[in-house]
Amino acid sequence: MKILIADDSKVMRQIVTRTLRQAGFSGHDLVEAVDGADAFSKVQSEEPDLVLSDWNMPNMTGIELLDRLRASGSTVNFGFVTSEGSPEMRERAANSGALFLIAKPFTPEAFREALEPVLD
Amino acid sequence: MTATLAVDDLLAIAGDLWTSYLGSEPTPSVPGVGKPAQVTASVSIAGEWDGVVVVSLSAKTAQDVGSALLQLDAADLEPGDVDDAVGELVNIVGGNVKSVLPGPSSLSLPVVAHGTAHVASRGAEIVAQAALEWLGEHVEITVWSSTSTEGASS
Repeated sequence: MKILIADDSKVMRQIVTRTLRQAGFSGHDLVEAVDGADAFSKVQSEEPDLVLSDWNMPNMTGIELLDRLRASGSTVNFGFVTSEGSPEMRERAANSGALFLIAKPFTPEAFREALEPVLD
Repeated sequence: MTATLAVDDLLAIAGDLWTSYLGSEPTPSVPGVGKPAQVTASVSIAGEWDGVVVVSLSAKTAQDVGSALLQLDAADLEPGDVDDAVGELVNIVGGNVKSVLPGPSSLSLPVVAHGTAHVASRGAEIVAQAALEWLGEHVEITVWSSTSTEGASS
């Protein structure tokens, strides 16, 4: 499967990549996007099976990305990996069609729990 | 709306963050005893509650954070890596602080400054401040509230 990791922080993209491996999701094809606008473009060009997106990014936020994807007809699996895990954020994410929201700092177990239903 | 944020909240957030990503848990310390900060990272919270979350640390600690997060030797860090790492550190602290405070509100992108950043005390007051000791260095987390919103420290 192909996973698109969207985060404006290179450090966090590497941590997400490492955590995917630690959670047992090695062997998937990983693609990176540096902000929401880049991610929107790469969903079209790369056709990932899952998008793991930060919320707070320049150019296009994660929630704007998700809303724009759904408005364009994309049904790609989408989950947030963000520092903000309040009930309001989780509700807003779910209302826009996100499958899950993983709050930072996260563990490999949190990744396994959220991603297993999508990737297995 | 009254904001309640305790020093213990900051220490718990930092403890989770350090344990998850930085390899070892920091020990609580006393604010104000360290040397002047050489790197200052901040994020703003705006909405129902308005304020700034600031993480200040030494240049060595900033480099240690970069090495730990990227799992690289300091010599192998690329330009921008340390600022990116420290920015992500304050982003995570800020996001977790925001989750404790009244919402809805939004979190800014992080800003990293080299040197000691000063928050104008005429328009802001400290609502919580925690200090940590990590790898022999001093790290401080300070949450400033705009004086137009109410705040309560521990």
